This record gives sequence, C-alpha cells and structure tokens, in this order.
Amino acid sequence: MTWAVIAKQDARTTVGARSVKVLLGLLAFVVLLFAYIYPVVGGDTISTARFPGFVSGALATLVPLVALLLGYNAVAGERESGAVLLSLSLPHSRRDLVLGKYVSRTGLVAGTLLVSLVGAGALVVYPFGELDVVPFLAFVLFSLSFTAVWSGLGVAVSLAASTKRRALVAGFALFFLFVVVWDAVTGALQAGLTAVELIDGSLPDPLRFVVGLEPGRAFGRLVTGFVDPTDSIEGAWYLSKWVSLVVLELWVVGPMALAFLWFDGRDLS
Amino acid sequence: MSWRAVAHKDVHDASRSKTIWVLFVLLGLLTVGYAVVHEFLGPEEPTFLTFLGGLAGLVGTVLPVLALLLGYKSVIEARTSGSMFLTLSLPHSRRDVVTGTVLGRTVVLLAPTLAGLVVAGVAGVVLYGTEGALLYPWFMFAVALYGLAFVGLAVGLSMWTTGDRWVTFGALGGYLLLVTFWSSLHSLTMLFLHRFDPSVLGDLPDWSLLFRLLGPGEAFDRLLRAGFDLELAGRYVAEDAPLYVDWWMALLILAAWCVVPLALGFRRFGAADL
Amino acid sequence: MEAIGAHDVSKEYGSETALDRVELTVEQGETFGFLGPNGAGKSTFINVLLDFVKPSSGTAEIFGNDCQENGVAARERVGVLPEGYSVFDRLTGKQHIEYAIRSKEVEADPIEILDRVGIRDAAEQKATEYSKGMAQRLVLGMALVGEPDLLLLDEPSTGLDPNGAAEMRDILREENERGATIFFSSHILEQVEAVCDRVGILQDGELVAVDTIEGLRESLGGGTKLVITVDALKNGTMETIRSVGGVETALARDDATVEVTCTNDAKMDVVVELHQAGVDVVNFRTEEASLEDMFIEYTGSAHR
Repeated sequence: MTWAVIAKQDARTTVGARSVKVLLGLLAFVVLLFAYIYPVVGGDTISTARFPGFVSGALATLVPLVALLLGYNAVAGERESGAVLLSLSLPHSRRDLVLGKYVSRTGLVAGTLLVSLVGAGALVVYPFGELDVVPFLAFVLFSLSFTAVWSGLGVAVSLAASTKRRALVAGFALFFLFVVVWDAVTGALQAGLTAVELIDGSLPDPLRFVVGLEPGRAFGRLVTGFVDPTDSIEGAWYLSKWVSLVVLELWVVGPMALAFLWFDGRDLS
Repeated sequence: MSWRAVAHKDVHDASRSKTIWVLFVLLGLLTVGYAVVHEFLGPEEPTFLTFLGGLAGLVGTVLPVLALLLGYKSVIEARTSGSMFLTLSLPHSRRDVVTGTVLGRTVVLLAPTLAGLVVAGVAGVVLYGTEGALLYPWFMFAVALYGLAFVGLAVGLSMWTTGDRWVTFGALGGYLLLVTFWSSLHSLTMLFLHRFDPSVLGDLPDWSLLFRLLGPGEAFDRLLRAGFDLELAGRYVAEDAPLYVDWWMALLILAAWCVVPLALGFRRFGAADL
Repeated sequence: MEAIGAHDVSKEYGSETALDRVELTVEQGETFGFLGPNGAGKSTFINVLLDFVKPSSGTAEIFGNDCQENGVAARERVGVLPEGYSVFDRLTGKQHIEYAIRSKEVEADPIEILDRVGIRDAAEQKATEYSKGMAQRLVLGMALVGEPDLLLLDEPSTGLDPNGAAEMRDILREENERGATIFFSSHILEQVEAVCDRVGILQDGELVAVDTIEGLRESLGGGTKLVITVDALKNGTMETIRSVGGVETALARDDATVEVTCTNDAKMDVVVELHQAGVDVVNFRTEEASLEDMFIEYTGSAHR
C-alpha cells in the first residue's frame, strides 16, 4: 500500500500550481464571504443550523467546478505524456496510483472546504449568532461527501479519457448536465406535463426520485432534511433524507469504481 | 561564554562609530529639551505626572524607530559583507553571535536613553515638583523593556530575511503596524467582525482588550499606568476590565515581543547556509 | 533462480502480432541483451514484464512473481528504465530520486545517486528542463535506488552521447558485479556486445535466437570472416568465390578487397580457388565475425 507516497507527492506538486491556488482560494473566499454577509441579511435567528441553507446553493455550483478542475488532470495528463509509466515502474500498483491521486485531489478540495467552513462557523457565531453544533457538523460532513463525489467524478473522467483534453471536455459535459441544465430540464418537464394536463403543477413522486438522483439535488435534500430547522421533505419513502444519503454515498464510490476497472484493464503504451 | 566577546565587540564598534554619540546627543536633547518645553506645551498647570505622560508619549514614538534602525541590519549586513564568516570562524557558535548582537545593540540603545532619562527626570523634579517622582525608576524600567522588545524584533527580523529590501520593508512595516496604526487596526478588525456596527467600539468585548494590549505601545502604557496615575491605558483599568489585562500581562507581552521574533529568526538563521 | 521467465507470451493488436509465443528465461546474475530492429517488439515484451501491457496469452514472471497478477511484488526488487516515459512536471531532479526512494521504502542519499549518474549539478533544476540524455540519466538513477536485484532497461542509451553511453555501460557492469541481473534492450550492437553474457534476437515479434555471443558465432558457420586483398578484382571473381562450398557471403569492400564469411574448412578452398582463377592473392587474414554480421545474418536487415 504505497498510495500514501503518491498522494503526498501529488498534493505537493498540485498545490504548487498557481491555478490550483486560485481555485482553492476562490472556494474559501466565497464560503467566508457568505458567512460574513449571512448575519446581516439572514433574518431574526442567526445560527449555524440555518446558515447551511443560506450557503448550500453556492456550494452546489462552486464545489463541482473546483473539484472537477482539480480532478480531471489527475491521471490523464501524466498518461498522455508518459510520466505515469515512471510511477508504475516503481513498485506501485495501478490501484495505489489511482487511490493516491484520488486522496490527494479530494483532500485538497475537502481540506480547503473544511477549514473555510470552520472559519465560516466562527464568523456566523461571532458576534451575533448561536452555535448549533450537531446540525452544523452534519452539514460539514455532507459537504465533504459532496466534494468527494465531484472530485471522484473528476478523477473518473481522468482515468477513462486517454488525453487531458478529452478529460476536460468530459468533465465539462458532466458539469453542464448536472449543474447547469438539470434544473432547467426538470422545470421544462414539469411545465410540459402540466400543459398536457398529465399532472397538476408538481411532478409525481417516482419522477421526483429520478430527477433527485443528481448529486447536487441529493446534497440539497440532505441539507433540507437533516440540517435546516425551517424546512423539511415531503413525499414517498424513497424521497426521504436517508435514501438521499445512500444516493450521495453511491455517487462517491460508483463512478470511481467503474473508471478504475476500465483503467486497470488498459494497455498503457 | 563567548557571547561576551561578541557583545563587547559590538558595543566597541558602535562607540567608535558616530552612531552612539549621535544617539547620546539626540536623546539628551529630546528628553531634557522636553523637560524644558513641557511648561509651554503641556496643560495649564504642569505637574511632574503630566510631564511624565508627555515624556512617555515621546519615548513611545521615538524609541522604536531607534531600536529598529540599530537592529534591523545587524545580522544581515554581517552576512552579506562576509564579516559573519570571520566571526564564526573564531570559536563562536551562532547562538553566541545572536546573543552578543542583541546585548550589544541593547546597550548601545539603552545607555544613552537611560542617561537622558535620568537627566530629564532630575530636570522634571526641579521644574514641576516631586509628586510621583519616587516611582521614576519604574518608568525607566518600562522604557528599557519597551526598547528591548523592539531590539529583539529588529534582530529577529534581521535573521529571518536574507534580502536587504525585505528587511527594510519589514522594519518599516513593523513600525507602522505596531506603533503608528495599531489602535486603528484594532478598531478596524472589531468593526469588520461586527459587520461595521459602530456601537462595538463603545462597548468592546473583553477578549478584544487583550488583543489590543498585544500592541507593544499599549503594553508600555499599561505598565506605566500600573505605577503612575496617568491618563493612559484607561480601558484596561476600568472596573469591568478582565483580569487578564493586568500589568503582568503587559510585562509578558513585551517580553514575548523580544523573545518570539528572536526565536523565529534564529530558527531560520541557525539552519541557513551562509 | 530465474530472474525473468516468459512462457509463450503473445500480444496481438487487432490483426497485428507484436509478440509471437516468446519463450525466454534469464538467470539471476546474468547480463542479458535484448536485440532487434525498431518495431520488432522489444518494448512490448518489456512492457508486458512491467504490466503496462497485458499479454493476449502466456505468462511472464519476475523472480517467480507473475507480472500481471502480482505486479507490485514483481517490481519490488526491480529498477526500471522504461521507454516512452516523460519526467514529472514541476519536480526537480532531486525530487524525482526522493520520490523513488519513498516509493521503494528504502534509505538512500539522492545526491549520491545523482552524482553516480552524472547529473549532480542539475539536482535542483526542474527535470522538465533536462535534455533527453539527462532525463535518461535521471531515470537510470531512479532505477538504481535501493540496489535492485534486477535492472530492466529499455533502450538505455537513447539520447546519450558516446561518452554517456560508455558511462552507462560502466554502471551496468558495476551493478552486475554487485550481483544484479541486467536485462536491457537495444538496437545498438556495440553496447550489447560489450557487456552481455547472452543475447536474444527478436524479429517481428519472434525470438529467433537466444545464445551467448560465442554460441551465436559458432552457429554461424564458425563465425570466420576472411578479408582477402587481391591485385585486382576481375569480372566473375565474386562468382568464383561464392561457388566454393561452405561460403556464405562474399562482399567486395573495394576493387581490391573481398570479405568472405565461411566455415573454417572452406578458408583454404577459397584461396586455392582464387589462385586457380588467375587472381593474385596479395594478402589475406581472418577476422572473428562481429555481432553486427550475425545480426544482419539473423534479421536480414542492416538496422543499427
């Protein structure tokens, strides 16, 4: 198990790039900015249990972007250039390589997010807010899982694509589909079905489930269900917060596992 | 014990150069001169205490400049000129060199300062009476500690950086930050944290008093307030002020301003290739 | 013990056959040269050993560990200089060696290793700024980390000047004396001839010969080469020589010198035949056939 060597090495060189510093700085800045503004605009009760509802929308857009941009080049670039051969000439298995890269890239984004959320919590609590430990802790864990999903997707496209460029295109395709147009498509579906009078305004539960499989939506339902005291989820059992939790964790594991199986069977030169 | 040799040489060098004599003259003129002009600048009825308050303000502004000027190039200059090789090729360790340098510069700074203060003190007693004059040594002690803090900071800075430009920026920045703008910086931070609600400045939370006391100038004032009934550092002696902004904390803080930069700088200097 | 054992290894890319049932054993302590023109499949074979490429059939082992099933264990005691690699972005030469040290979980001084491969002065330089030759030295350095039991080098002299190639040979010799098995591929014959105990010749994916250099010479008609200087070549002289029994090749080097490879017995026959044909033999000497001659013989081509 030499993945730790690869992870350490990768984290060190990755964080040395200016673009990575900018991306991570942007993430931290946005989280802290939201925490700074929140007490001013957040209404009567300022607490760390309500803050997640305020920031989760921004996270649902920004985390995918940052995690994908850090993840897509994890393996593809080195595979294209041949540097990956140098790593695999050493006694590392492909599993060590992939695991190390994944841990490193996820760790960078998740670590930044963790530190900035702790800072954000402090900014919310001091001087006007209340500390509500358990919901906030849950929120931090969900955010880290959500980060793991998207950096996993990034590394997965990096494994599946044979060039850096293709990995970037595939990553953006995922971002576009899940983050940019998913809501619009859902809205259009809803409006269309209403127009032909199949439904009256809201989607039926099974369709809501399918639409809710998207990681950002699962993350949002977790925040609504577990964290935010002002909101709750309604609908069939398969729409519950616990199912959303399973969905999100499947997103963490699934794409990476599939992409690894693909990569493990490939000829590399 | 070879730091003695280094310190001795440091003082000796300084005494042969013009620096120390210029300092003697300058500080003598400043302190004694102030003793004379306080009558015209100060309040309607000058007393020894008002004189002391004015003197404290003067020393609080001027002494850091002198300390930083004396110390900020001490190590880096020896390094770039090569004289550090010469010193270290004698049986001196780097620790000896640093200890000796700090002591040497302190002597060079404090000898004229304290001499000037003694003369000014006598002049003050003669001109404004003896009320409060018994504790004048406490004032001199606080000044010495205050000067030492900035010598430590300057020498620490000199060990930390390797670039001439950076050490100059560092010294200048350190002065502006810690002396000139410290209280503004403190207020701004509190305002920022309280989302620019100005009422916070009228009612500072307890912890921010400690934060404010971290400034060496504030700690210096706090020490003086412990010995004299001056119009200084009033917020720390208010009735609801917390225990941890007492005078001993000011003492600790000034000591830390001397020791911590030295320790940080030495960690780098001790490990660096010359 | 076997350092490398390949059993019936084949690799097909679509309809193209890159390796055709390669059967090869390299014993511990040997220096083995893997020869063949470009495109013969040398790199494919080495990549199978490194599990960069999965064989279509057959198995390969390093020190008894299957290269595909148990790749990490197989590479544990192996130093590798692969082909088609590139150095890591943003790492200095020294950091490359440190990475190898941590990966192999050994203790070593990176500067000492860089010194040994002759790029100590470039230790703090980014490896992406290295020339091809320097990169080659660097990766050789990574291979040397941890005193491996087997060195697996794919075209190690690529990008090196003659001096560098000689230094590389010295290092290989030292490593072999230390007890390491050396396996390297090359299309440059002098390299192989200078250091190898045994060679294998690969042609179009097939291992056409495996033997010691001596053995190869013997199997090639005694390996004798005659260099005959005559007063002047006449029409038909070459045909006369070629008609002698036991002669394999006959080439006119210039208009007064002929090179003949033949069996030992045929040597005198050639001279006698020339005499009878009215050609004056001014001088003649025998030379041992070089590896190059054998190589050309085996592969039917003059790649070098």
